[in-house]
Amino acid sequence: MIILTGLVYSLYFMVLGFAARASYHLLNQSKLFIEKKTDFSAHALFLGIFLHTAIFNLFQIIGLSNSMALTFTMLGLGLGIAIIITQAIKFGFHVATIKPSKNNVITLLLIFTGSLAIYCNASLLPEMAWDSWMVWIGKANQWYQHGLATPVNSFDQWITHQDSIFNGSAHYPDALPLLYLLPKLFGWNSYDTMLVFYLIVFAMMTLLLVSRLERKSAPGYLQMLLVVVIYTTPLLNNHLMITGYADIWMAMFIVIIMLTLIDYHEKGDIGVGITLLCYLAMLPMIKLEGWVWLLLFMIAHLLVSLANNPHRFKFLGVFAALAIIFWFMGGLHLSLPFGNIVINSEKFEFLHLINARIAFTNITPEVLLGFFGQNNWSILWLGLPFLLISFWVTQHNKASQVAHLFFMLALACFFFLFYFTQASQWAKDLTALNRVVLQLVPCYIFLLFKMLIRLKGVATEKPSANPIS
Amino acid sequence: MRSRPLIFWTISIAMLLLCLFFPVNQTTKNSTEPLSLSSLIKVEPKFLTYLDNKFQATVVGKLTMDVKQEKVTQDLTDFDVFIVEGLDMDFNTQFSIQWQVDGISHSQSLNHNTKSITPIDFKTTDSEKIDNLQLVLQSTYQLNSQAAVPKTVSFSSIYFDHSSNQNIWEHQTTQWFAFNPVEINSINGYSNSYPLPLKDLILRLVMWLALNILLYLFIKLNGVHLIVSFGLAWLITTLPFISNFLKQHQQMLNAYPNGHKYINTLDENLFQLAQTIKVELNHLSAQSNAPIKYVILGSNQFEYLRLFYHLTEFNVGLSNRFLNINDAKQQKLIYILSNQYREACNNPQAEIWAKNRFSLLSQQPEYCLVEAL
Repeated sequence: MIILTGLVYSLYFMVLGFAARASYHLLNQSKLFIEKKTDFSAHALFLGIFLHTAIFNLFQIIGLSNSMALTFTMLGLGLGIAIIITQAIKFGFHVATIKPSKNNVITLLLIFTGSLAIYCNASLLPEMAWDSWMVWIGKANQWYQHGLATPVNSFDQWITHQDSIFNGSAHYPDALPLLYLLPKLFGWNSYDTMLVFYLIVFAMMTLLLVSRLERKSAPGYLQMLLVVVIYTTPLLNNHLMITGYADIWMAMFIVIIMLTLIDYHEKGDIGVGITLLCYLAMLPMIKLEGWVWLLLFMIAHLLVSLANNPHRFKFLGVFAALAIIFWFMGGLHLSLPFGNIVINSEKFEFLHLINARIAFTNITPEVLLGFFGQNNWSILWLGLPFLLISFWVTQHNKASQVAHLFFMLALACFFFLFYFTQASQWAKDLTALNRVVLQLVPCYIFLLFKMLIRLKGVATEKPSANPIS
Repeated sequence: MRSRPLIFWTISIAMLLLCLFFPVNQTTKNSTEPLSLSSLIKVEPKFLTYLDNKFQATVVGKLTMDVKQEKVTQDLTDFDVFIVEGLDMDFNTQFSIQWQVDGISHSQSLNHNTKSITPIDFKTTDSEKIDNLQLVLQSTYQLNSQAAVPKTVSFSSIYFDHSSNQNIWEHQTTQWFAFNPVEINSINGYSNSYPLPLKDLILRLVMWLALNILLYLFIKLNGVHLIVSFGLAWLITTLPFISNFLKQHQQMLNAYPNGHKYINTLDENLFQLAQTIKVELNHLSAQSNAPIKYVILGSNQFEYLRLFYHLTEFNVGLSNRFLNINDAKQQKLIYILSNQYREACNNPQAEIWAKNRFSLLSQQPEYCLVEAL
């Protein structure tokens, strides 16, 4: 029953995402081209998650009751199905028939085995993740009891505002509680449904990664190794087994954004661009640090655009001049209506995201312990120096440059945060140190395997769509 | 150059064996004889019996076994490993060795394996300073909703030894395959314990892979060979991981034989407490004309957070500050005092924060309800 509700719930998101794609083609009066069914389903699922979150946020804003929210959701689902049928009748779908290879079947079996093994352990565990029962399921429980539109406040606000409810993490974004809420409204066990849902979404992400490696001419054994690595990386496995943390969602969306960004640069399709924007918008809806990753994606995109611009040296000159001016002025101090930007040798403040005193703390022993000693990542981080070197010594197209640059910026931010701010306390206790890294790991694994394809004699002889990548 | 792969793999496998089994930080102390504790354990006989060539310890919650140190003639600091052979223990029990040095307590959890070999650092070089040496068997209740049922732990021998007396293969593999349980804080890292069982293996494999990469660059052969070596290294770390994963499955089956409605016994008790409180809160809500806000007085600890979780059907908050009704603006403010805060209901004048701040509504053995003035 639990597996069934999880599957039905996944199907709901896929229908939402599929309907969004179909409506785009309906408006353009064009045929919907489905190149690979697994890729299409995966993207439909992720897009559906965004749509669900956005729609439920809208329900909260307009103050719908739970029963009305459920009614509108069912109506929305019906509308989605109607759009898909209309598209099918009016313009149709073009589904490419790709005969599954032996490699595809083995890969699917590996993913299924990995998911099943994790399910066997996870289904025995109670809802034990603190973040989950206090914040994610916690908020969903509260909305279920008091109404979806009831404002959630911190203690000081709650005590003075009537008709609001209290949650210790009221300022956290709402995407994950909204994912937990709908099964509750259906009367299902939301924890167990979400456990299956986590595994399905993760499996879809893995399928997309494998598919992308295949497109880059990765041999079958490398695709299978990727699946094995993803499912047996201890902390990834642990986060799926102990269900309820948001970091794994950030990890999945970051890697999906990276893949979609590569697609967008390679195809230049507006539909892909819109999908990319939806995925990017999802980041701050999951966790607060999503704003940082969102900014880094934008910065990476901007820097790569500038680096490929014929006037890049002029831009570099202007940037260097500004840096020198700010240096002489004692740093950058900007007061904006939506927060301050202060960067100097003593303080780093960026809007409401971070306001930290700069002080160096040596956390190298903890970094080494977290990266290697605790067996969170097995031997994965040995590849980092090679990945960084490969970025500089090999030629990449613009899409790949953005992906690599994002990863390097994210890693630089990570090290800055833990070495130079008070966040070092969470490195010292080996907590956030591991969990923030987790958000980047699927993306790192993908880049690592992409690098391995470039080794002599590894790529299959099948002609690649993009020889430089 | 067909011989290149052969050369690569011959050197590579030789390096792998060397990296895996090269003894590091091992001092040679051939003269050290093992110190058996079999006859040195001091415990009530009913809790430790010898049957079928095995010691059978009965654990009800916790069993502490003192070691008769006065009968130890050898220097304890000569030993660097503690060994338990034939260990048979369920995955929700922890076996540890505890001692004191200059009044400071130290503890070391023993590796959970049939032959358990655990590195020991006494934190002193002077054997005379080591006292209160104890063996402790303890049921863990962090993730367990079972009552404290008696458990039997058996072992055939138990002794201190020096690592140089041990077979290096056995010494390494028992570390790598040591059990790492699921705990409430497991998510922060695969293993928070010390010594880290797989640290040594990972560092050895990292060294091997680094050498392999150099060899690959030097011999200049097909990249497939490098990927195979990466896959092999991954497999070596994955085997202990999968073994542990299966043991964790057993741990959870034992911990939650009847399903997992509650995290642990404490959580179940808090749920029962919440049910009792709910009856009173429903009554109070029905009687009042003004809106009521309920506040659990407490900190961000498991006891208070779970009570809050079980009471979310009410408009409930959690704070460690006691506020007056003026702060709540036109709303009744009713506090739920449990644990140490409940004492204030007995004698409000004794607590500074409670003095003339509330009127008592209800007093129960586990909690009381007060209305802020």
